[in-house]
Amino acid sequence: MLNRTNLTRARSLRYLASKRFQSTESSSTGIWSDFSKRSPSLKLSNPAIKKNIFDKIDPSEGPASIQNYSRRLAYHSINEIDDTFKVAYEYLQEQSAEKYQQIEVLEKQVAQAQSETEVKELKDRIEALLVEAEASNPEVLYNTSYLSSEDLDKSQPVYRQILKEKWEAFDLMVTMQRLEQLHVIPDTLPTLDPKVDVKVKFPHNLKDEFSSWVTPGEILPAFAVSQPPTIRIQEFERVDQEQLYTVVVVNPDTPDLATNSFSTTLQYGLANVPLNNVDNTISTSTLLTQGDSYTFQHYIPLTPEKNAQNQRACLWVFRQAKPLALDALAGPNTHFDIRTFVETNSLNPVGAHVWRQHFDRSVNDVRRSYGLEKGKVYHRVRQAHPVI
Amino acid sequence: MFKTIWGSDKAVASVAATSKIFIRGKQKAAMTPSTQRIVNQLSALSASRKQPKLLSLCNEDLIKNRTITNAWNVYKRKLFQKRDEQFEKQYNSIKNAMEDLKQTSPELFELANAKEQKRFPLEMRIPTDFPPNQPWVYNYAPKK
Amino acid sequence: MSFLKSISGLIRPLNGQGSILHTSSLNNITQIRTATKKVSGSKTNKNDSAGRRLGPKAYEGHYVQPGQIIMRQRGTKIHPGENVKIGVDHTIYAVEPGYVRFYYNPFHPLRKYVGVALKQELKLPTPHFSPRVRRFGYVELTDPVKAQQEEDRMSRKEYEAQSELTNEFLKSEEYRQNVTKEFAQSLKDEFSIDLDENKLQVVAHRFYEISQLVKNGLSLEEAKVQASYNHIYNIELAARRGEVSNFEEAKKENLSVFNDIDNKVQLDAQGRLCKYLNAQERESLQQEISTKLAPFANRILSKEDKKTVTNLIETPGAYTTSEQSLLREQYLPEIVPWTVPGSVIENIDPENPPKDVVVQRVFDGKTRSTKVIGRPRDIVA
Repeated sequence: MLNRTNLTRARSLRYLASKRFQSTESSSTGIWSDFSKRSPSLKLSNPAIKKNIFDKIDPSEGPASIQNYSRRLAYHSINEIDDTFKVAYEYLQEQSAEKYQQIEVLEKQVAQAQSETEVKELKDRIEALLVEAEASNPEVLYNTSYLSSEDLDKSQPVYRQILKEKWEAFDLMVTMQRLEQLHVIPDTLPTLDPKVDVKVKFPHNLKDEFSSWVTPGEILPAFAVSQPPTIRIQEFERVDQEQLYTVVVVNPDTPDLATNSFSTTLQYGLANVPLNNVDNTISTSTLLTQGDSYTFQHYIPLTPEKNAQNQRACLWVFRQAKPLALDALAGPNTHFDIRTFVETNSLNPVGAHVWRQHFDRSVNDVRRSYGLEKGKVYHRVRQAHPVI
Repeated sequence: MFKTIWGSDKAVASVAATSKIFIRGKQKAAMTPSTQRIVNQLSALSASRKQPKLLSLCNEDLIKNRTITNAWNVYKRKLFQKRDEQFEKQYNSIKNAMEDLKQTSPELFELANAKEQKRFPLEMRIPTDFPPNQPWVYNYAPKK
Repeated sequence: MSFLKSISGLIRPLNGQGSILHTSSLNNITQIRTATKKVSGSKTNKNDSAGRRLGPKAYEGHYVQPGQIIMRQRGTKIHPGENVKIGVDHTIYAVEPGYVRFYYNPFHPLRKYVGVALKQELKLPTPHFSPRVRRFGYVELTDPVKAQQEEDRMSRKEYEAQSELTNEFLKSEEYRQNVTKEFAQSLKDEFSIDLDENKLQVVAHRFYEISQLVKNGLSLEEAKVQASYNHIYNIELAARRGEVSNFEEAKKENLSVFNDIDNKVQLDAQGRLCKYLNAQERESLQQEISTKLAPFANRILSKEDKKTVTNLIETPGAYTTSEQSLLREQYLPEIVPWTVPGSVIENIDPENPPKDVVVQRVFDGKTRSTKVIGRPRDIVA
């Protein structure tokens, strides 16, 4: 028994040694170390960590990813992990090289393709292959696991795919839950088939508790939303040139005393905003330089009146089929019918966000700064008067 | 007679040597007190706390580990794919051969596909309260 | 024989013969007189209660008020639908005024529902994708005095937080004023910025905002844009209110002022104003500093050395916050690494260590044993 295990161990070590010899030869020529055609964003940028992954972790220095000096020194790696990793890396790299060969063939077909649909189909297949070819690359794995999503290059299909998976695993579920539970669906639009990750923040806030990304459904004070938000619209599908977007913020909880019910108010309207996979944010600098050419309704923050309960600011993002005329979109912002707006302009809802507000002590200041008259005050007891 | 008694006595002695011998009085512990203390402490701990600690690996090693796992999965998948292809080929060739046989000689096809007759079907078994220890042998033949 | 006896009781009697129950002779019949009068009553079927008056209390199309009971029932014979709720004893009552509707819900085809339609012409259930019909129900206070009273009314939580909130506000306001004042002063004195008092205040406030935004995690460039935008946006709002006549001109003018200032002055990582350096100048300054820093690498630093290194790293305008922290890690580590010469003293007597030496027991990987070493106290930052 003992003899047999020794034998197999010797055999496996010999195998490893032979593979190691091969790997030192071929590592410089592998597809994953060739950046002539591949984007440099697929590289692991930290040289120390890269050295730790591809060579051994030097026990006198420890892994570079651990910050604490004494913990770094105390670290012990796993036996034989480096040699096994080399074999695994070579094997996966071979698989990836095969994928890249297939891609080359497809690219030639794209050059010869006749119709647009054929080109699109081929490009989709190329993208799927690119994801497969890079998904198990350890450098890409490291970047997606430990770098923040803002640092990843969204022009690369593999990063987009992994970001999409991350989004679907958490942020999308939170957003959809809030949209349904707060009845944004169906109070504003019937339903939503989410395609893009929509994030919102109010960067004018000097207090850090209000300057970070807003969690959907959060209740915010009026001063924290007193300036137009920064909106990030992350597309996961390939955008070849540019896609135009329409963004609206509506308040479906404006009291309508004539009917003893509610009406919808348009609080903010942007249209014809060109975005793509990489350039994905309607930021302050965009608003400062090109704000007027996108805006059909100036931003007016929600200013709920005393005792009028919580009000929802529902932000909807639409993909446009064609450019729209801003003058035609502009109109009175009260009694706004978002459903007909979407239908007449043939907009495709792809993402949404929501935050809530109620009366607070900063509402009056915000109203004054926007030149609105003083808000009404309602009796705090709800009456039993019927809807008219 | 005498001889047999001797023989039986020997057998008794050998059995006594292997079985536990009763000792009168307070038993002394086989373990040292310090070992006993550790055993007692461990017995008070729940099983989950006696598990070895989860390995806390650095990011680099985790990536290496995931790469190795990925490679192993790809390797296994390829193996299975190869095997499945082989099976499919085998099945197809059997099927083609049978089709061929059906066309050329229906009698031989019938014979080749004839169901094997059971000599002792399971219905012959007399019902009992508990299932049998031996499996039922359909084509039982007595040993020669 | 005994076996036969024991099983005889288990064998079914044939044709009634040999049965234990068998009576053969007519002579043996005895007459029994059964009781015709009950001596005492039995308890069965006597615990009947009065009817619980269950059932619908409001019917299809009836107008109900909030709180009015629509249905009393045992269990949920009928389920609560729109604008109604269900009590602990499954009583269904209205929560909105309107018209009672009994209906089926396509999502639960086996259940009956009761709901309240807010208008007479409405049917239930409301179609799945159409907006809910909702009632506002609050009445406006028209008396200005009462309205003001109601507006000023606070919840207990808000009332109790007032003192803390005011203190916090005053503190932050004081801080803002101080910082802005300092910035204005230094703009005037150090950088000889020639602006009228109003403009100077605006510029100083903008630098205050930039410093706060950088603290929130924005990059310096983003913070500059945001701070400019904040000011421009306020002007735009004033223009919308009719307080500023020509917004476009004001915007252009302010932006050019900000641009001028940004080309002269910038905010460094320490939050101080310093001379503006373009990318080239910054790089050359960084190179200069790194040559000065080089001799301090990989050795134990004295107190004075640490001070000079800190000053070099914090040279105004040279490095960003993250670059500074990297440099600090490199030149001013919390504990000097072992590889630095002179930071490990071997062969010391652990009982009587020399002054300014800390005794440590460490694991030596090569010999796989622990050993005693000394480390100078200066290694700790």
